[in-house]
Amino acid sequence: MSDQGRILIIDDSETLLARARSRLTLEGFEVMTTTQATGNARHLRSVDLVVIDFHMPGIDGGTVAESLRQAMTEKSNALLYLYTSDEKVAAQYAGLGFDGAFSNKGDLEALANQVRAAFRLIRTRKLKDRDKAPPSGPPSSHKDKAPPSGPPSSYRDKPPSSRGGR
Amino acid sequence: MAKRGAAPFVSIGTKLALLIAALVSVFGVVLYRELVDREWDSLVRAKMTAASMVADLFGRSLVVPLDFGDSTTLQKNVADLGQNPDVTYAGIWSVGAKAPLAELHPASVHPDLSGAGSATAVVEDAVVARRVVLDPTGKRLGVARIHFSLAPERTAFDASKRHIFVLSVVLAAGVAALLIGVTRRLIVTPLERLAAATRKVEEGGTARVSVSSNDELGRLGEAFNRMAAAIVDRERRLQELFDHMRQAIVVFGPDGIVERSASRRADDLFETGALEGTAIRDVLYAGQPDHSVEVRAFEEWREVVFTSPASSFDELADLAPSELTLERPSRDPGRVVLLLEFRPIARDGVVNRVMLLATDVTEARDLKHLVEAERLEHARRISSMRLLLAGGAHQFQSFAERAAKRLGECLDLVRSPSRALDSSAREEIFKVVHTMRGEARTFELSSVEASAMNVEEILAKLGHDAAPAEAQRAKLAAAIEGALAAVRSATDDFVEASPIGRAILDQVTVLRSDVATLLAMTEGRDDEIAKAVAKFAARPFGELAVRQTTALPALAEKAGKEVRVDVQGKDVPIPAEVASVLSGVLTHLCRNAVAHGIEPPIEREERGKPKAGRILLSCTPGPSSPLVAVEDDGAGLDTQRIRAQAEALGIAASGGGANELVFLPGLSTAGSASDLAGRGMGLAAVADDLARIDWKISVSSEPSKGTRFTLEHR
Repeated sequence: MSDQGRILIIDDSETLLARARSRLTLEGFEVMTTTQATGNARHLRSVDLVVIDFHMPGIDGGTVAESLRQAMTEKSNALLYLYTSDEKVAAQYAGLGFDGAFSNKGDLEALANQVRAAFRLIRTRKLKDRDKAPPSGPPSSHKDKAPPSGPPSSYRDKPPSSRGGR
Repeated sequence: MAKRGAAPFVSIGTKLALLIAALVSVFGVVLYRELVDREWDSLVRAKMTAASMVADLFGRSLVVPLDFGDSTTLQKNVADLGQNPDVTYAGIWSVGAKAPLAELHPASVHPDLSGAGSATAVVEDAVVARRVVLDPTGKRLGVARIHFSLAPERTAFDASKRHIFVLSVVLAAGVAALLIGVTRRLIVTPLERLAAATRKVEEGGTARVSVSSNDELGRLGEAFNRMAAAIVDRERRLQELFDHMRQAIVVFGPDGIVERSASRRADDLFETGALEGTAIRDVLYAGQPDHSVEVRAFEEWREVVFTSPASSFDELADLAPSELTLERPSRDPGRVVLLLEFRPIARDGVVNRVMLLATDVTEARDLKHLVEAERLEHARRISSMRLLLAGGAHQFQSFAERAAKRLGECLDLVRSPSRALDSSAREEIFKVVHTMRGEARTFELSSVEASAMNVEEILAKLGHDAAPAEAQRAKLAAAIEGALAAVRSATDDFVEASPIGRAILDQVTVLRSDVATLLAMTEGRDDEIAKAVAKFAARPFGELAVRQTTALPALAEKAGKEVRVDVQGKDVPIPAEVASVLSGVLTHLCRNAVAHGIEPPIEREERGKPKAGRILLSCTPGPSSPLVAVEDDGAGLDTQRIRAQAEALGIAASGGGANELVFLPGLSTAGSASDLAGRGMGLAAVADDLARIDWKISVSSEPSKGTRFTLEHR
């Protein structure tokens, strides 16, 4: 299994980081881990998915998302996902500024399944955009009005080359 | 399905009934007319017969009066006729007279008959009878004419007509009813039954048509019954097939609703009750909220699949979930892993259904994971150990010793009930474990680190309890034992990765020069110190062998051969003076083995040997001195050539084998001096070197099987 995707996991428990890393490596992902909530900007350019523990002490998970996004430039396409054991928090991912949530924190099998699903979702969306996107042209107003399914990520899904929204 | 035209459905029964009705009507009309005509004819004929008779009688009665010209009698006869209500006119004429001699009802209309003789005929509404009156001699006396009214016949006829009409209608109706009934029974009802049965089979039920007639319809009915039975049988067999498949098969449409679950397995596996009509998203991800990433990924995939052309399905299949884990608290191990495969069902190039095949791979998956995880873990441990060996063998050893010792002390503390496990004691344990954790981290010993963290977590959970309970002490003890086991396991890995085996644990760093000095100082002595120094100076066999393990495979490759080197007895100590000689001897013997012993890979394959030749360097501790052997699984010594060469050199073989001849100087079975084996001095020199340290060398060999050189102290 070659590189299925690159992941950065941010969590305060080293045990969890180690276990998650070995489990996801088994799946073929390239995994980086850190306990630091800040200072990760340089990693963001090279990963496809960032998994952030919501209940990191000291910093509320939501603000981490914000600061990460600020640190990200146009070049980065990384998606930010919450990691929590609280289903209610998971349901709020969009409001907190995340692209999605992984639940059942601590269950490595569930994590593997969810991470795989996240990457499938990324590729499905890419396929949809490829099939839908007109080769060029001014953005049509009705597209901007239609609410996208999923998280309200206005700048998230914009492919770097096209102009205008979905 | 073929489209029937815009024509509305008209039952064949109706059509036949209409046809019968039409035909029978025509028949009825024809019958009526016939009967009516006949009735009139017979009435008229009867009248004419009666009229004839009356006219004949009347005529005869006129012979005498006409002969005598008796007009009074004539008139009386005519008046008598008037009593007959049917007579509408009567007239008598004498021969040649224009005006009648007697007349009844002269005012009425009374056209004459054509012709001249006696006749009776129908003229318009009356029967007219004319009689020529003749005397006995045949002389014409006169003519009489009577008109009989047909009015009564008419009346009778009208009544008859009505009767005939009713009769005809009744008859026709009867015939029609009979015909309709018969055709209904023979044709229409069987067809209806057949149609009804066909519909039942179409809807998935089973039907039998009762066959009573022995004609085409009867045959059709029988054929239908056979066909229906065959359909039912085939469906049953298909269902059995599906039910016996290990895979669950579920079919869903663009709306995401399950249409059919085609196997019993499906209900078993998914445990959601009746699958038909359920949303596929609920079947697969029951209980997961809509925002869950797995549900989102699946639903978006589903949308794309049904709106893309069938030809791109294969590309899209990669984006479908390939595996699914379902919680099954009732089962052991509490979950079920399913392998998912999606297949398109397309029509006209568009996917209009998707079929899901799910296979239960729980057991296989668990096993695979287990094996894979262990393998990875092991490989990682060994590689980190190699790093250790390259750099910090010493530090690791001291760390391991220290950690084991301190953990042992902690364990004693926790285990002895007499000693209180108060907060200061727990602090101590924490410090030990925390330090160990940090040190383990520097060696990249993640399992030791993890075991240390485990102990720390348990200590943290104990919180500020002054005296923890028995159960908690037991838990803590178990955790510390776990840490000890981790340290032991790390040490085992260390030994496994070491080229000199366990000996590495006893290693100490001492300069060779210092050892050499010590040796020289104690030479010739036999006391404790000398023995101790001799032990220092001894090298583990593995150290000597390691040079061969690293260099030989490369050398072999240059000679076009494949070779593998195994070492046994890595940690057996070899005395210093032997070690220096043995090193060279091993090199020589190994190079010989590669040059002459091991065959090229193709040859080895032909002989049924593995492509790579095996060279085994083994060392076993002996009563006073170790025993060393160098073995290969090559072609063995070429005894014939050895003998031949020996003879050429003028040396006769001793009673023993030709094998000992190889140690004679001048002998070499190498055709040319390859850089590996050199010229014929090889083994003789080896024997000499060994003899100088009082060791001997012997050889045993089996053609095609291999050669074994044994080196030992004399």
